[in-house]
Amino acid sequence: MHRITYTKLTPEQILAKLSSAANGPTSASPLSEVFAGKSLKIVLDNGPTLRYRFTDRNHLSVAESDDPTTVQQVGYGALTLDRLALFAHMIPRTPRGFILILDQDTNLVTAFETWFSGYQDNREVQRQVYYGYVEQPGAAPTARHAMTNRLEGKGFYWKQDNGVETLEFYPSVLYSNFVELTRFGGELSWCAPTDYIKISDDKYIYSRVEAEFSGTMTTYLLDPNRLEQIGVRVGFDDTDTLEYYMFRGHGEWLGQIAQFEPFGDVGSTIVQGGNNRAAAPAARGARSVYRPLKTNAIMTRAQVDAAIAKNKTLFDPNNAMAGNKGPTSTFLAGKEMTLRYDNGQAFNYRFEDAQKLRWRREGGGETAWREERYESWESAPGVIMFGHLLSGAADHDAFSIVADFDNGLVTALHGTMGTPYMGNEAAVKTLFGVVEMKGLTPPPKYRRHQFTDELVGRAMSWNYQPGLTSMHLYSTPYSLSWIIFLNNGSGGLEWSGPASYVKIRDELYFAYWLEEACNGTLGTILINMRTMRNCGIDYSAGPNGLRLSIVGAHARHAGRFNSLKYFAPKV
Amino acid sequence: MSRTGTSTRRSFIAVAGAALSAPVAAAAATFPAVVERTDPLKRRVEQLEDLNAIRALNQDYCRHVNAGAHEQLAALFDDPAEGTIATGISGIAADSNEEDAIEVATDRRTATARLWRTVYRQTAIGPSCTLVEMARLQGGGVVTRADATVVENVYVCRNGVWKFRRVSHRPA
Repeated sequence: MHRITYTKLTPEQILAKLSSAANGPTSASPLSEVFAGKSLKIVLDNGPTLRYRFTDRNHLSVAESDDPTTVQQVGYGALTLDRLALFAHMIPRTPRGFILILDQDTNLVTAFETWFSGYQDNREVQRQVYYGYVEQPGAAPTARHAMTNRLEGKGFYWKQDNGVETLEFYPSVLYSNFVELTRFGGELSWCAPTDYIKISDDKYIYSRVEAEFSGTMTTYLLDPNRLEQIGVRVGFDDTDTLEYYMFRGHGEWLGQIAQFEPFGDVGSTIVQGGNNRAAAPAARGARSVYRPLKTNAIMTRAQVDAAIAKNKTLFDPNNAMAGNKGPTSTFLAGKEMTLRYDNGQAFNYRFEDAQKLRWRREGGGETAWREERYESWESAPGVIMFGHLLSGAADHDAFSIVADFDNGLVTALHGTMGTPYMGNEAAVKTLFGVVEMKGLTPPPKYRRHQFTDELVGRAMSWNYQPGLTSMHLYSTPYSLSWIIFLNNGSGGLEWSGPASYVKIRDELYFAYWLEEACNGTLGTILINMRTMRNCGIDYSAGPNGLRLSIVGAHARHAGRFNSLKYFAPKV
Repeated sequence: MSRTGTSTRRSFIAVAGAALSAPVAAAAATFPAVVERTDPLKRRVEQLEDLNAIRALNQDYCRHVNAGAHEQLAALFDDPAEGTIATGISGIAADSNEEDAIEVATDRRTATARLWRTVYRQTAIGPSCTLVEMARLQGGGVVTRADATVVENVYVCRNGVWKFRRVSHRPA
């Protein structure tokens, strides 16, 4: 999804494509007749008053004011879940529409006013959430549906009545993670700004917009006890085809990971920023969206080469993510060894001291030693992580290496700068091999470190320094999401990228993630789940040149989703 | 002699002016009262009114700093341009300290205070990286530290209302 070039549709194209939406959403399940023949007046706080007449289960008239000339006839669809009903319709000949969730017992309503062409990417659905009620004789109700953090930390497998299967994780109050098992094969996870609204203790509204991707909005009611959902999806897919359908789905429970808000905080408001900062944006439709490609420079190869020629920053101890770094190891100082990888490459090393090494590629007639700055940490006895640049390499190559001297095994993450998409986006290959060193037990012939899925579904918080904590969600065997906490400990903004996980020893994992379609960083960390800390190296390039940055953080377990079985090969 | 701040004036009227007719009470609130220097009880009441008004002003100051309410904060100052939040300050603990000292001038037109407070200061985390960038987008990406601080205030009373003339901080 990061790599799909979604068409920049014009408002005119969108209006043309929406013409069929005037017939109402399609649905694989029978639409409900719950409103057929009824009239409703829905009063929305700080919003319009909507007057509906439902002719049947597929046609309604709606007015957004008392002016009878504003009445519009349009198709709609409705589904029910217990006494809750969700219905959706567009406003004819406009890019606007409504999705309403109505509780027939309390008469309380949540309404999403939706529209296209409200952001620079016209296809991205915008929404304004209103709370209100169905007008009845007597006093208006004072209660309202409300935003909540009570869904935070939950995860579900959903299968819609049209066969679409997803894994959906809610690790934040602003964002959610979703894995498209059917549409995109379940390889990676993606993140989307999300509204979470509480109706009752076992009925919630979830609504995400796939911002920065297709812009599609998916809104559903869910019952976490019975694992049922009803919803509607509106937007344009990767072929620019309108998706406007309602769905009924059944789920499976994946689990609940930790929440980090103070006890008693149920998330009825979302406060962003410090004590002297403003709360969430107030403009109509505004929301917090992480748009990394709009805040990070996209550079050409030539621009990257020029920037790196001017500056390389290697292992700055003041790096923001190095605040909790472990002590630099002296294990390698004075040692000589060869790291021999299974792809045929081998590298000779001489470690002059704890921060200076010399290397040369074995074979190929290369005899000169190159000197590099390196940094290393001993995460577990005999397990050393170290990294360095490969000076003179064509793609500003860098190694992040974990060598297990007790077992004679090595795994290297070979980073190169530049992808077909961005000059300043890293790529990576994983190399498995052995350590050859005098005094070391002869290296094994067949045994190697292995890729592992032992981390999949797990969430861990990482505190890099006071004020800077993230949470990793190892969302699939091939991707990782990172969530930045708000001040009160709620999950906030989120992004995800391709990743892989290598098992070094029990409770010791070598992971990487690529900040793909983002700032292009390759993050590499060695996760020690006994000491609950990591060490690592970030490899990145930008207008300020190249950086190899120290990473060091303290961890906390944040729980685990039982999601691994969904990634097994199809049989 | 000037009178105390609005809220205190109301409480004064509630206590001392309850039996007055509304116009008289309004007049009493509008015109400076004549201090009966020979009436120690009355003078004591006025002193307490001044102190209460200044304490309330101090509380409002903390509240507005903590909320980042710049306009409301500026309104607490005789010269609103003086009512700014110093760069980096994110909050002030509003709890009073037994060492706090407030002195009101005998003419009751000015006052000074020396208050021991915990001031919270934020320093931006850097250099930037993805996490810092994302944290900044949601108002974070800062380190907050608590500093024991002496807050030294100068007050002025105009038209019966106490306001800040100046607020300054120094390490305790």
